[in-house]
Amino acid sequence: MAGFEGRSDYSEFKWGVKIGVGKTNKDLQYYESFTFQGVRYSLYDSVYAYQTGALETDIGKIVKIYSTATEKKVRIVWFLRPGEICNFLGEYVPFWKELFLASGEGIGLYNVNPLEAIVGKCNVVCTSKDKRNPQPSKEELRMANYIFCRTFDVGRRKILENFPDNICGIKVESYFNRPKQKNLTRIPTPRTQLRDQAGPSNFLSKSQLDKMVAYPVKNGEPGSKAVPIAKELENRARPALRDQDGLSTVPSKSRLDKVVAHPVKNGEPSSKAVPLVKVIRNTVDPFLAPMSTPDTRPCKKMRTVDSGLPDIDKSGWFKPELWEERLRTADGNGRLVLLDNLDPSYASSEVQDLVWGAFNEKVEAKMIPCTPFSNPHYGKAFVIFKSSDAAESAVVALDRRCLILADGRPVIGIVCRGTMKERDKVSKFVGHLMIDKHRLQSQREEMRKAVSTSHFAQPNTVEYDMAMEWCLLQEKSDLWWKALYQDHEEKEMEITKLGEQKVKV
Amino acid sequence: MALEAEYAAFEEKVKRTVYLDNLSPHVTELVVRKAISQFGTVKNIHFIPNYLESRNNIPLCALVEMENPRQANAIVLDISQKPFMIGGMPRPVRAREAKPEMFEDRPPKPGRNIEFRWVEPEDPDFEVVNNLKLLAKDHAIEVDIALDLQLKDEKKLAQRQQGALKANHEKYEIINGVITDGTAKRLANRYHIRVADDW
Repeated sequence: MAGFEGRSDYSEFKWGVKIGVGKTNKDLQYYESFTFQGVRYSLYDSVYAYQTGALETDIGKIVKIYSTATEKKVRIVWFLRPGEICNFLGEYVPFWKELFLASGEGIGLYNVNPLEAIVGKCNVVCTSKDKRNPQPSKEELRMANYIFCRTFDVGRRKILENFPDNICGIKVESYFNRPKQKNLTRIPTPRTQLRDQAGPSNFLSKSQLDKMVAYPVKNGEPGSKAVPIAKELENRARPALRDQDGLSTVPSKSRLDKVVAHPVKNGEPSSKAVPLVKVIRNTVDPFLAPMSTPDTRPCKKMRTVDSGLPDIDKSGWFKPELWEERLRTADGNGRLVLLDNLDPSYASSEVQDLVWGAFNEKVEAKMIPCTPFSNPHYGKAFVIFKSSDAAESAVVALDRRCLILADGRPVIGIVCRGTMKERDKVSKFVGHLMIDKHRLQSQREEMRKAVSTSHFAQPNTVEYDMAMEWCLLQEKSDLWWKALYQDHEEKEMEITKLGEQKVKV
Repeated sequence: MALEAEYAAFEEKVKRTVYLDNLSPHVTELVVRKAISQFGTVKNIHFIPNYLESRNNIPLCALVEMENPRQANAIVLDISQKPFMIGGMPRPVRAREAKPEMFEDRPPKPGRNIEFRWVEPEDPDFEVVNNLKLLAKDHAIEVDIALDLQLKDEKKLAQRQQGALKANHEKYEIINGVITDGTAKRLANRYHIRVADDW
């Protein structure tokens, strides 16, 4: 790896001051500090820890340093990022750079890791107004990488403003800021020591706190953080994941194109699972406003439509049943025209204005709402003409000549005859499964108890796995629709460009 | 201006609305209402009618208007993370934020003028525009095909799952049967295998 060569001076490791041996196990030797790769880490320092395959480092506080006969270990109590507990934030809006100290009892409070998991020191300042906490100065706040002022109880899964008296068996004063000392030279420069991914400041960006976009974080519980086993520096290139529990992998629901196939560890499946953090709004907004194609006719003037239409009776319009009836009758009479290739943000009245201006016909129109699989750049509308002749002539005109809208798109019209099919009674919805024996029984009950038919799937059920497969399919289909429409768009751009070139010539 | 006020009100409504899809066509408004009321107050539910697609098995979509944008966001968040079933399992519903284009009867954006132009065949641009037209028609066909493929995929998955479910169910039934009628215990005694006491 590239940065390898520069590490030879970091190979030193030295223990610091010893502070005792284990009571039961005399092999355990506790220390107060150690020096690793040129950096001195002491008890109650905040550090970055990195887990192979993760996209970000974790941050925690060292609360115990010890060595056994064969290994060197640290116990780290974790700071949680807002994104990791986003489900439990509720109303609380975290500050920029805010973390939450884990507290209480439960998975995710702390982990014991080998020393090599630590990748650097971190400056975390406590801004809590607790009396036991020395208040930080402005300078310290400015230099801080992160702040914390609340804890997250991992057992009760709540954010608490009051600090308990001890966390993980250690007095809470150790977690607060150090009492003011003369020499405040302990503020490290983390950048130079971070070896792995870009420092978290890149990740804890505004987008994370604001929009919760693209936070692909470790799935499953925050606990059980496996850590690379680095056997001295020669093997640094091959950090292996160490399964703490060796449990089965759970299919993750994260973005398909960011699925890093690293096995995810779950805690015991019977414990309440922290819900998978899924990337929200991962698909690029398919409903972005259409890109305006380059204007190929800079000098031709466009006619604008004045929206002062003569009065049209608006009363019965938006009643859905009436509209549907009218649609069907019009369909039968040949007065129904489907306009395609419109600007999807048009409103129904605008479509009417358009037809009035273009064809001099009074019509009723309604935009068709877009679906996840309809083209985000084109809108469609149903237009009911007053007579089938008018409909015909309009469509013929659209065919022979071209009606262009403001951004150069030609409107397409099709007369609908018999395209509205009856909605059949669907007997079975694809994807809802039944066990034959229970089918009769469930149908009766379902009708009575509507609530019981809606629920969240629990992770330890067969249903959950199946649901995951469906989710996967849904995501995949989203992606392929996106790809299809992108492809369409590119083809259009090509044609318009060709046209431009011709004009220039 | 009245138009702007109307549009502003509409935009505000859009922010409060959740777009649900992958709903079973059997689901009624009541079911959806009860299901979503677990998240907050439901003000209105509007099923999006599907006139164009006559295929069966197109899942239903609905726009659910909540009381405030926070509830709507909470729903989208929750449903995206844990599979939520309405009216049957295991196909989960999908929730998205609503967009203005999803509403049929949306008011026009104020301050926008519709512009258009007729292009005659003699016009130099006609060729380009005509090509675009043909292209659009082609694309429509492609979309159709893609939709067909998607539905086929969905059906395959459902069939596969149904098969697996049935097989598993039979397996469990057999095991259950064997335990309840004592066969398992007798066999265990014969082979001197320790068994759980509650068999």
